Amino acid sequence: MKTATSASRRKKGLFQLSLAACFIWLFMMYIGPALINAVPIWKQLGEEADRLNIHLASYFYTEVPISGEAEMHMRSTIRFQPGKQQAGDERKIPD
Amino acid sequence: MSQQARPDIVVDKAASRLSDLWTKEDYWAIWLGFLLIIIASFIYFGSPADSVKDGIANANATLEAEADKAPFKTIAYYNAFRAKSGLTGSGTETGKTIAALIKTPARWGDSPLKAFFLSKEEADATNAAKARDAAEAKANAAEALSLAQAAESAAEAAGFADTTLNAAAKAAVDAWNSAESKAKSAASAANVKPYNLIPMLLIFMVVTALFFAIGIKCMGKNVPRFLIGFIFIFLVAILAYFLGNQNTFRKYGVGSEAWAIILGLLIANTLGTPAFAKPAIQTEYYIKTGLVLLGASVLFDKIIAIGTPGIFVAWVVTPIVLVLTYIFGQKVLKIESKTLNIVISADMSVCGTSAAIATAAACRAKKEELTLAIGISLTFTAVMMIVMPMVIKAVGMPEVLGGAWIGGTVDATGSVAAAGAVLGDKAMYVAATIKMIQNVLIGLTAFCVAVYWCAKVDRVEGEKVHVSEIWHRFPKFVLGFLAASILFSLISQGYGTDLSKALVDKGALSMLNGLRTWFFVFAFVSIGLATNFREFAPYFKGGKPVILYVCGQSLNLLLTLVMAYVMFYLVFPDITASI
Repeated sequence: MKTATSASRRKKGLFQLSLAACFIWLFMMYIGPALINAVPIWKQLGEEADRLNIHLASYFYTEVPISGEAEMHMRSTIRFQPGKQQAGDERKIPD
Repeated sequence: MSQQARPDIVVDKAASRLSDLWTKEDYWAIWLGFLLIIIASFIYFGSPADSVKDGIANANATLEAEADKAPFKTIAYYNAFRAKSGLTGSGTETGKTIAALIKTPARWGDSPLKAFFLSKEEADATNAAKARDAAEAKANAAEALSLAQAAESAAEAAGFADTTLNAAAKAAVDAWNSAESKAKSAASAANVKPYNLIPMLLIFMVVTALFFAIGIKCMGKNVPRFLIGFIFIFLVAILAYFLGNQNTFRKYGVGSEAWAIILGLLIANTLGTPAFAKPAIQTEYYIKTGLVLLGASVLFDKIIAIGTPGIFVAWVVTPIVLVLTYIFGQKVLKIESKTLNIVISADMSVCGTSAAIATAAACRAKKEELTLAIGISLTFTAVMMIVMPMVIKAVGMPEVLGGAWIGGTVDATGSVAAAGAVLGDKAMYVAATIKMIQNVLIGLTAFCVAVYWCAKVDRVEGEKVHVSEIWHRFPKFVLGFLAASILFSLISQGYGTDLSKALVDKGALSMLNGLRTWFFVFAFVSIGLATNFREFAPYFKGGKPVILYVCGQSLNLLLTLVMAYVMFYLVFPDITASI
């Protein structure tokens, strides 16, 4: 009796898991891309992420290669600020 | 009612023993984390190659000369910048081997096999298909370069004194720079190499299993049972990476960590977690070891990357929002669980998932609370990364202001950079840098939360807490986290900004971060496998966690916008003009 209940619970679990897997697959291949294509700015966001090799879920700056470039860009902008010398200002942030 | 008086809260005995050093996972997280940090330091640090030093010196000389010459960034300025940012410390043979070892399943679209294997024929076919785009982007960049050269020469001929010519040259050079970036991305997309990740994944599984087994053995647990269970955890982790690297989910911001929780939950709540896997469900052990490694990435010299405006936007607004949101949750929403309240507040105000993990571990939040906080963060990040660029574009907000606003408010760094890129290169640079500065706040947040919890929250009401009591209760791995942060901050400062970028950021940290993401995924698989769906119900009571997030984020949006405007447009307009 106990084995029968356990087997039926296992079958139910397997069915639920298969159902979830089917939904994930459907979303991944059809529903998800259709939604992205329906919202122009989302599509653009995805294209930019592809171009810059960014995973939108990356949560720390070290996982986003463009963060390093962004930091270097900002530091160079402040350290080697174009036109600052002509204006006679002192550079504020040393290396 | 103090939390200590509640029967459902586990309170540590306020005592420390010498044997804690080898029997507690907090200490093992430190030992194992530092073992990896020492290995990374031996591999990547030391005397930097002359080519790297010369490359930096030459690039800086050019940048200085060009900055003195013209009132805008010239073509030579951008070329020098590119040369400098291309220098890396992970290009050595050892670095390459390690990078190959910690590789995760690859990005894929329609063909699942490509997550693990790509034949030479398929790589050639992909490259051939992308070659046309690359050639087109290269031609566009060449055309933009001609226009930029002409405009720059005209401005130079006028001694850079004609503002109209200068403005035209600046626009043309910026347009070329953007086209050049696109051409480089397209060329990289057309240079795919064949791969077979399966052997390396198997080797990595064995190495990590043995690595974690050291602590398991010393903590007196059953090593063979752990090793058998770990194979299951590792396989679910691979599946999480497999789904997280699928193109659609990448664009929804659902990564391997989220999939690790989802898959774990699905297995646990349908078939049930296999008994043989349970000895390897060591959430705290994996997460704390990962957090010690994360500490190495918390480099304090990053906070001045964008000067004073960045410090104000990221380091002044964020703590204000964090504290006010926590107080709002306690006083107005009356959220029962203080740990849930602080984890959501930190997650929303600091930087999403990473802050949630660090704060949850520092205040010993329950696994359901961490999962809930991350779930809310991922949902709102997906909405904000789309809505914010739309709003910014619709109201015609300046790029730099929009970038700072996104950087200070959207949780995930990847979403921040992409949402910024939708607005333009400048917005992307500002957004990503602000977020990076905010990331560094994790160290301070985790430390303050740990101290506050030991000294205030976990004490018996009316009882005075001694320093020794705080020490006994203090989550020791936080010390490892801080020590790693201080050590790497000093190393980074010692090398100087540019050399540090090549040897620390692109060197040692590339190895440590690769390992850290794996460890967090193991932790999230463990969380999922140990959680019953029904355990979430009490936390959703009255929708309070969502209300807390929405109210806190609204305050964050308002304060960040005001601070960014004041700093970038009223106090430091010269910096904004040069970006």
